[in-house]
Amino acid sequence: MNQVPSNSELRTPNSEPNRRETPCCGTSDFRLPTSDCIGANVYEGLPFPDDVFIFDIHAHVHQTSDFQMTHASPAEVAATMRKLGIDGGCVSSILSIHADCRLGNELVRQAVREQADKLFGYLTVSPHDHDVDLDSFFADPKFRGMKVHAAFHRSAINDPRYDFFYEYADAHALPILFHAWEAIDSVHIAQVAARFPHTKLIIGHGAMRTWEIKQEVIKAVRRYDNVFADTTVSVAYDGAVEWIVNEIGADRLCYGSDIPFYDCRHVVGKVATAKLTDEEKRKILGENARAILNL
Amino acid sequence: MLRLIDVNCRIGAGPADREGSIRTKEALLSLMDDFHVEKAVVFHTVSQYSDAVLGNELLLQETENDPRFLRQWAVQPALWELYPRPDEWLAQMKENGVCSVRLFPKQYGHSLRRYACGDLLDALAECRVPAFISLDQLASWDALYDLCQDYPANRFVLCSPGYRCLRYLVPILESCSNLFVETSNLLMHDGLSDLCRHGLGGRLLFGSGAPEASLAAAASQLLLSDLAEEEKQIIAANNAEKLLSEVAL
Repeated sequence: MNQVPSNSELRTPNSEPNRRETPCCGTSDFRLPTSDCIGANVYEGLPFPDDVFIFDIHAHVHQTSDFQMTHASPAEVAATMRKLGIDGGCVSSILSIHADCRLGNELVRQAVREQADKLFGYLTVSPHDHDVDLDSFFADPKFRGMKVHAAFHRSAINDPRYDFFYEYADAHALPILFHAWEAIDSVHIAQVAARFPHTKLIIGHGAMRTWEIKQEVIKAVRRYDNVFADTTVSVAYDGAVEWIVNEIGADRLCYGSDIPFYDCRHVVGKVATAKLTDEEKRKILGENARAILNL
Repeated sequence: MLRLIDVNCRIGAGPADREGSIRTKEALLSLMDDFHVEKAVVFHTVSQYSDAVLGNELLLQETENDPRFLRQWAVQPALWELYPRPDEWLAQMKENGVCSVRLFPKQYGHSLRRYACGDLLDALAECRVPAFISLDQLASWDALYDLCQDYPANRFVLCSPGYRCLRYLVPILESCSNLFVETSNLLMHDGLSDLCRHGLGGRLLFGSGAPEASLAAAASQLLLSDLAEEEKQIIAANNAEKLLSEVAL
């Protein structure tokens, strides 16, 4: 066979992996997991330790017709959290997003009562329906914020019909989780952030997608103190969590899994085993959510 | 501690390597160390995106003297004298310790039907060389079913089936005993447990899609699953070892 140059010979010096200065567990070893790392239990396949607060800021319940989702009931979602040592999650109903917004929200009201030890609720809001008793939902301490899924509601995040909800959220300091699949979504979220500074806005799926999308996420998070990103869509490459933390800081990134669209195991494990300090991981896995959702 | 064999890795730069992503063999080995991945089946990105033969040669160079990498070649059907004939592929694979192949029909632009691939796939079947193929290289799930049915003596490993796959994947697995599934991106909630509970655990091979996809995510999905340790081990390494041990080049 012909001798050809190896890849290491072909590469430029700039093509080395992005290595962080901050080592895991405060040791000088970049990669070696040690027993006191938050990720240590993942390597052993064990639940997370009790002293680490883990909260899923982007979770769902109920089914879609698009494909066979498994174990999508509130009880099953909560059961997985219990098994893994995840302290809780804030859920919106897929039914609210894909079909009947009102029915889904009522079912979330029921779900957070039945799974009270694990589940909190987002009220999914639709630009097509302002006839919602917001006070009734947010008088319930289990409802911690709003969910906006403009794409499925055939709208856009900057649709003025959402202002009705943004104004309420701003007046009551309620956070809003956005489904943000395209770069333009983060542009629109930044516009909302500027107009409604008292609400905290979470760019769902924001931390893990393409370079173009992440540029808008980074711009929005850097520019507005009330904007955060979450980790859903976490099949992204190893190094993605570390990279986005370098860009926006661990204070602005939240663990979210999108369960039951996906299992939550892969993303919580990936964050827990990332090359970050334990302090950074604690913020991402739960402490940021605690502050945003006022848990 | 589980022994892991990752059946879906690549070496080499891709056209869309992303910020912060792993780009060197050494970095991949380091990640494998973290998760106790003993060995990884690897193909070369140059094979996928540019030239099968050149990529295969690069793979040999990059994996030389490193037994943790199980070499996988990209193959394609003969066309005049441009690519090796099936017997030539197999002779070269034997000579270089290559124990599986990868098919890229969409990327390379060829059919998998007998008129195009019959000779190649028959030769692979004779030597029990498993052929790996990603879902995104197939026109449809029906194309996967047809492939398994048209070549019943071959062993196929479907890679990266995605989390929306169950309504297609399960009936195909139940109809086609020659199909195995690699687990990266098989991310349904409790999906691994469900597949095992329904008797399909023997058909699952742990894989990550690294470094394009996350090895940490794939490993966490298996390690944190509800499966018993023995079941995890079957998926983690045993199924792959069995499949590859039966190769008779």
